[in-house]
Amino acid sequence: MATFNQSDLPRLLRMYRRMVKIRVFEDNANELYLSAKMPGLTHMYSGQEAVAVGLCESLKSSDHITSTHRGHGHCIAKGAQLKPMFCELLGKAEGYCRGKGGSMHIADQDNGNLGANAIVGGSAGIATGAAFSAKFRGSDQVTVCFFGDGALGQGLLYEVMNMAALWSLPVIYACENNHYGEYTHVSEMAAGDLKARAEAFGIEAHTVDGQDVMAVCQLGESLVARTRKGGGPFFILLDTYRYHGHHVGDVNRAYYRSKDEEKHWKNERDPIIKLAEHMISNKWTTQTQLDAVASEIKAEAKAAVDYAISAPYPSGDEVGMHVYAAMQN
Amino acid sequence: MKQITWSHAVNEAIAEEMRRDDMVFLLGEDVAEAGTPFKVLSGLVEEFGVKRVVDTPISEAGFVGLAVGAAMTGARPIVDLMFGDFIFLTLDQIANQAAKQCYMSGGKLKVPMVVRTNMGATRRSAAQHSQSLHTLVAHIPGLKVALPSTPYEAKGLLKTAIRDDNPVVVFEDKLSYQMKGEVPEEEYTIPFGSANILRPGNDISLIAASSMVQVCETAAAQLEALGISAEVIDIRTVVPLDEDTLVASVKKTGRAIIVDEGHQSYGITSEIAARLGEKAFYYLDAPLTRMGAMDVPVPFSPVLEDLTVPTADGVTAKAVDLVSGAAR
Amino acid sequence: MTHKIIMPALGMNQDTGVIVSWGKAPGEFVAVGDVIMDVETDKAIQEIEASQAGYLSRVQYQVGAEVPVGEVVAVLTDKPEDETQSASTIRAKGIGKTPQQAPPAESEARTPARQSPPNTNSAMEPEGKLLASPKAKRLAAEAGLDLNKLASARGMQPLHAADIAELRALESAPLPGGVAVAVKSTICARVEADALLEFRRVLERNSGNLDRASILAVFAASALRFCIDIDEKMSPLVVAVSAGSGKTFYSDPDLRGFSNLAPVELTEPPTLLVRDTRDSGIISIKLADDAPLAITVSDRPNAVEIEFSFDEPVLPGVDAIRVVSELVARITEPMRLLL
Repeated sequence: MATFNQSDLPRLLRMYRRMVKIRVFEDNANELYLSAKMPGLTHMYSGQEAVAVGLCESLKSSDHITSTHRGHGHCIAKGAQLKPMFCELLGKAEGYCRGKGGSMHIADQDNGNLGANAIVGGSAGIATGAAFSAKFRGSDQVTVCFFGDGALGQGLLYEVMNMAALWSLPVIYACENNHYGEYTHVSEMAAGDLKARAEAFGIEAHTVDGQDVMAVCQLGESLVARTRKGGGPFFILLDTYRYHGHHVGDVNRAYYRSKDEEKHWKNERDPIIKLAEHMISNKWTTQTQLDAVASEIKAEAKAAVDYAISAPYPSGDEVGMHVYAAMQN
Repeated sequence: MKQITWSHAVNEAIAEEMRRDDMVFLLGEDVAEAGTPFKVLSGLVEEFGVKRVVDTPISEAGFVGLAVGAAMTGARPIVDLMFGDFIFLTLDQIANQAAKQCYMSGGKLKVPMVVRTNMGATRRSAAQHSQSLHTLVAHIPGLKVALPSTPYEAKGLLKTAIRDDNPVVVFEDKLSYQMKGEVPEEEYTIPFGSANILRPGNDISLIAASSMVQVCETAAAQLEALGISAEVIDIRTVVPLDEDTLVASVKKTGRAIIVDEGHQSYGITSEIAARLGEKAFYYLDAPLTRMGAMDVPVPFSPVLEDLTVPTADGVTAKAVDLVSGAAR
Repeated sequence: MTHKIIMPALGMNQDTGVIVSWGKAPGEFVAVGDVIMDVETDKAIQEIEASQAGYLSRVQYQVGAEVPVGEVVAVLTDKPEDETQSASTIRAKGIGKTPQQAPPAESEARTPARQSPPNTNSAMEPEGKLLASPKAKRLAAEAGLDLNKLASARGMQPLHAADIAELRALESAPLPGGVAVAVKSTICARVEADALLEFRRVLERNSGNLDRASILAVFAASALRFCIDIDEKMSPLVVAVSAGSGKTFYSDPDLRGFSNLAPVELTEPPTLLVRDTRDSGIISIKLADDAPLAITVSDRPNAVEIEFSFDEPVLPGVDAIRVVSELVARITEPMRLLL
């Protein structure tokens, strides 16, 4: 367990709040989807909250992240608001992307989120380019590239890690190993030592318990600081787990993973419970206080959902807008 | 006006834009000291240094993807893709990432990048180094596609591309790098979406891009000797397409041949013909006619390769058929 | 002797065939190897050739009829049979339709001579669809002109914008006899040329050099006079002969005898034009200022082709057919005229 003490409580509570926010957001999104209020398809981040929250804790809003199809958590961790997020999920005009992106493409430029990406591994180039750009522009911005274990199968990742290493780019490759690429265990899809793939490029690679937000945060803090000073790139393999199926609707999962396994992760390794237990056992806070946080967030989420449901759709004339950016430089 | 080569014109365009805007940088395979295999970029690294003229590994998807991210975060990359054929390696980055960022984000993100690449057969480079793949990217909304036809066009269109806030793919004919042409001393750009009527005429419109513009000009001279007045139009940009100029021309002449070096089937010739059919139907006095590259992989043997691309003689013969009413 | 034409079995699983088109009209002579009809089976269209010669008779099915394999669709006879075959005996749909339900047969099915535009490039589209460029159609519509008139006058399609001027002239030209609207019809015939060549040799021995076009002018005038009354309005019968670019005119050439045949100065507009395109390479020609009746003679292998184009109001179709038959008879047996 990482060495946090009572003086870090505001920070821990902030991370706690963020993780709960993600969990509550996903519960609501799941509900919206199952009750047929939400179109399309969506992927739940529940269970992996400590990864996004722990790493983003050390990022400034001007730092960049790139996200994945399972991107709600990254988005919230980087500072997004619930209302425009729910609006985007429902295809409403007030969504982050005016309803044009949806669950798999939420981008929040103001908070440095360059967007979720529905192509597995598809954002590796963008993240590396953002890092290149930061260095090129003489900025100290850091980019964190989130991707799942499934992306380890994509060649693009290795092309850009090679360049990032050659050119010492300020990027951290955060591989969220939730153990399943769609419906298949990582061991059936990725050969050898996963971390060694990055090490082959001379990239310093770390493994961390992705369910321990304090551990993630501490590693992230150190790597972000080193990256900011030109020490990048880095690679982090985060051991984590998704509670839901690959997508909402992937309900019968017994053929690829057992109920016992899911139960183990939910009961023994839940990142929110884990942090709560740590803070309570150290008597830095009480369950009552934390319950109040959860209630507050649930109310906020409910209000955001209600708002999004009654919010207007974009007008039809918007369909042809934004294909091209207005000219020009 | 000075006469310079295509290579020189491109080199000037990039240098001028790099001087104009510090955010512009160049990356690609062997673009720095080597100046590309075509030596188009020679000298740039000496002026701008390796920070802005970046040699990449042979990782086309990777460096195009990297350029997308750089463009999204304030830089203005010019990607040198050594052969147009390599665009297949980069399509996810170009079509799924670069082209869609602006739209998917509801206009919040933009990708001001240029992919400079080439096209054109008859260089005896065989099937994987000879393709003209502009149709492929022209099909994807969010991308702009320019096809210069002369050194003047190459410089003017490239400068516009670099200043555009959208991803632009510029295809240069690889046989044109040594072509000489007049280029003004003073600064100029050529706006996108404005076709160039190179030669006015009344009997038939010859619509083309890239090196096929020269093919059409030669054909027009041959036709003039036969008493047929051909209007030659360089479309300059496939996206955006200057439909108005093309429609007006065909309304005047009543006939058109659209000539392109991309494969004919499902190509830009088909698209332009379809638009002319929709917008100028009642003015047509002959079937709209497409002349693209044959629908075969480009063969190596010169004897075979030369058969695959439209020629001036072919355009002339087709035009005579259309004007005389023999085509049916 | 008659030969039955039977719907053939052309495919493994074929029960019926659809008659897509008849290659010959009832009463028309069918040589061995001629296409009698096109039959569609299993999405393929096949030409059915005659294995015997004879005149097409007793046609049982119209175009479009689906006919069971093995059915007799027509017979070939030694002599032309009565052409006034009742429409109700030709069945429109072979299957599931009684003869009573069949619509009247198209008149073209009973026209003895093939009545069609003059060459392969001139075929009208099926169902008489006009082939003209969109621009030509628009210009015609704007000027209130009927492209169909030009199409049938020229026989050549498609029409283009440049043809509009011709159409304009056609529509504004006054017609002989004060007829407001002329409809050009054509009949084509093919005749063996041997007898004609021999006839010319005989004439040359007796009457000195006589150009071959003039011989045809005499035949044509004779055929015309044989079939219709040459009334005061038409008399004398002025025939223009065109072989090449110039024209020569004869007045009542058929009444003068070959030895007295001499061109005249033109006083009256010609009633009949005889155009001889043999040896010129031209296979079809029609000009806007042609006479109301025009006969074009062109080369075919061992034969000449005669195309008679006529304005319906000037000469009714039924008379025109007789004129052609008479002309054919004269070319086939020219000595008859001398006897």
